Amino acid sequence: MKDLLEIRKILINSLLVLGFFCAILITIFFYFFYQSSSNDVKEANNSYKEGESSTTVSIRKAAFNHALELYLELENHFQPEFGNGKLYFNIANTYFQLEEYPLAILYYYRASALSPYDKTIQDNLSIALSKVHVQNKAEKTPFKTIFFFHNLLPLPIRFQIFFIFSLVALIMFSMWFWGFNKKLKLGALFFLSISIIMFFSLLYSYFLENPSAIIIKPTSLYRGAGTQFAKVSDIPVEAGSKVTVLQVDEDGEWLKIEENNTIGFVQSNSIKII
Amino acid sequence: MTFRCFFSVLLISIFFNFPLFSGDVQLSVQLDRKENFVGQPLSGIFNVQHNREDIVDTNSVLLGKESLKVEFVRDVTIDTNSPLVVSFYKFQLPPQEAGTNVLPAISVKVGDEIYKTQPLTYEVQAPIKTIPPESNSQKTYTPYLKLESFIEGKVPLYIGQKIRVGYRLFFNDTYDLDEIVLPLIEAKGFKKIGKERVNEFTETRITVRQIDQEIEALSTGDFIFGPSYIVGAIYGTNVRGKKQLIYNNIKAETPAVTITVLDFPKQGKPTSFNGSVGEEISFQVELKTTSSLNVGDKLTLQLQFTSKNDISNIKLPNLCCQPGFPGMFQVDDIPPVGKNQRNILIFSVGMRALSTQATSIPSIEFSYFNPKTERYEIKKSKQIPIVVSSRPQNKSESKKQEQQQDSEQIVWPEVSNQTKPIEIKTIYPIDGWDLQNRYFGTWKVFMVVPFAVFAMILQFYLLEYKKKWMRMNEAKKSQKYLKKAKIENISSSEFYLYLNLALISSLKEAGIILDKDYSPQDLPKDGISGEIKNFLTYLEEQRFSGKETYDRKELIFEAENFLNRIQGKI
Repeated sequence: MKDLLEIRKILINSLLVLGFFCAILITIFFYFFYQSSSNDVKEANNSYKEGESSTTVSIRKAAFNHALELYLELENHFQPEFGNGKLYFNIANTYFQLEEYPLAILYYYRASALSPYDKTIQDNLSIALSKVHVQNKAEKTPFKTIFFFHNLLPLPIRFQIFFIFSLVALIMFSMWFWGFNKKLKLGALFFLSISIIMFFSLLYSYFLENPSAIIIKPTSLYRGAGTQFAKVSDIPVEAGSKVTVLQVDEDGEWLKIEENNTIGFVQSNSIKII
Repeated sequence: MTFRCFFSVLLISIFFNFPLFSGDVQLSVQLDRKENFVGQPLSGIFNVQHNREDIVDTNSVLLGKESLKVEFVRDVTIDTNSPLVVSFYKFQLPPQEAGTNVLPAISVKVGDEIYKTQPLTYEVQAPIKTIPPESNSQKTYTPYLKLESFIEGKVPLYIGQKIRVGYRLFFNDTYDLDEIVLPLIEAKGFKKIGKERVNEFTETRITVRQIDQEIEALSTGDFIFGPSYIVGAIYGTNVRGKKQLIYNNIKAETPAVTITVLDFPKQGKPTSFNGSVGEEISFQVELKTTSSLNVGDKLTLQLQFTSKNDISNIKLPNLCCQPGFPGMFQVDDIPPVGKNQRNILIFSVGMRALSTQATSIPSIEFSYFNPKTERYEIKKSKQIPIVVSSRPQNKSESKKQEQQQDSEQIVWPEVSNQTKPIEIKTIYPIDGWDLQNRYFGTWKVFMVVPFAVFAMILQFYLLEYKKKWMRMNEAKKSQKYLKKAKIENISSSEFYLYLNLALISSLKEAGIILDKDYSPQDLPKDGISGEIKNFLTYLEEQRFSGKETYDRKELIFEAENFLNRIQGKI
């Protein structure tokens, strides 16, 4: 019996020491990671500011181009698809300053998807859309009204809600299970139901929802996946237009899209998914 | 007399045909007779194929290094559509010595350049043969068949360049051709453009049939065609009106022709180069439609190429890939066909404006390879300003816009290096944490589902285990009490207390009672608990009555028996 107690004591002590070292290593890693990334971020921010304050077109262009290069490198490295959208907003601003309005619109939409209530993003998006003479279409449907949380809450927030509510439900169920308090079961069921709603909302987003995309260069809509097919209309789809992607062909070269209730195919190099 | 001489010269030219290809000018020389004899002057004919505009300078004719007097016979037009003519000249040389002799190269100035024939070998025989008198029919009629190959266009040529090749067949009767070998028309290794072209014309009694084919060079190398030949026979009719062979196995042959195709040099090749070849080409672009248009409207550009030289090898520049075109203009899918008007080649290119940001037709770069200088040359057109407006939503708006365009003068933006005011709100001063995805904000959080299920299952088993473990611990307690009872004396009150505790604890361990603080009277009457209740009540009665008739060993045995029975149930 004594041996068992001693083994248990040694095990606990070892775990404590290991945990301590792990905590130190993680802290060091995050510190250096933060330092290295923040240097690039600072340089990009400064370059953008320099572009804003420059007095000649050439200096401004050079500064914005440098900022864009750094921001795109950061985007490529970190891929903050579930972040707060600030990096996307900065990229969009830089594209705007370089008069690449369709790409600016694309990144404003990406930022807006992550921070839908940010007024600055919405304001800049409106200006960018006006530059390419495209209107911001926000359609209201009964589905969207009923499942408001699905459209109003950004994807990462829905993930967080799902995770926290699931975890709380699990803890409460566990406590009820071990006989702490019988009323805990009701609370656990409430949290579980919210997390189930979020779960289905997330599954819908992943499996059923058609992604939106931005036309980055004017292109014709074809009746089939190839230039040998006839054009749906002589008038091309304007750059900066927001469209719905219905299908992507096997080799990813052509996308079936819907734009203003017109369905057609466009080449993948003229469109980017938000 | 002149005509006679001309045809007699042509008669023997079947066997002596040495064309020299150099651009459009070709020279050949033939001697009048197959057999030449000592003491007999040599006569021959010398023909020059050239452009009608180029003048053949007869005073410049040299035989080797010495001047040669030639006499013009006549010009023969090859084709009414072709500027080429063949000029025939006759010449005479003094008698030569017996044996094999060489006729040196004959050179002549045609236009601004000098051209030469190949040296010609001929035999002069010593004894003069007695020529038998010819029959009347042979005097008046001799079969004549001659084959000549030609190339229109400059050689060597480059990949993608086009030339016209073919044959000229001279004959004076109706031939039944038994064998035809004309490899230039087949043009293996080249791409044939269109069908072969056949033209026929007659000059006095000689018929000339020209067969030619346009070809395009596909790959580099030396392509040898020939020798080419035709073999035929002449038939006539006898007195009974039946077909009768008059001349058999008449063969006309021309030497092999080599066409060299070169690759374009890699050094200095411009990005816009797409295979155009020519010399001193000028390039001009004009907008043929209105300069004010809406997004999606069609506009037409006219690209004009001018050169004094050949323009058939000019190709339309790839407009879709020129700087300033992608994203701004969409060029029509159907490639335009160039209109060749003498020395001017015109392409009309249709396109649509795609964006309001298109403020001009960008400068178009046209590059071509100049074979004369062996260098690439680049021409750039001027920018053409245009105004592209967004497409009006309805008719009234469209009309309004048209009226506005009519009334207003177009104000061109000033070109300046001054910056415009910033129109949008500035960036967020982000830091390293803004680059991260939100914690628990990604698809990875779905891992919580299997984790929760696992946690619940684990807890369920833990709870079960806990119950079992507690029971086991309790079982150990009843045994402990019994052990203590065994040590005590029967007369001591602890003996009864431990015995009591051992039995009641064992009932609790088995889950028969809920608490071990039960008194013997409170125990259930049924089953083993009833038996224990009776046993303990009896023991208590005996103990307090002072009778104490029981044996200690017996009591312990009885208690052990109860414990074994209860633990067997656990």
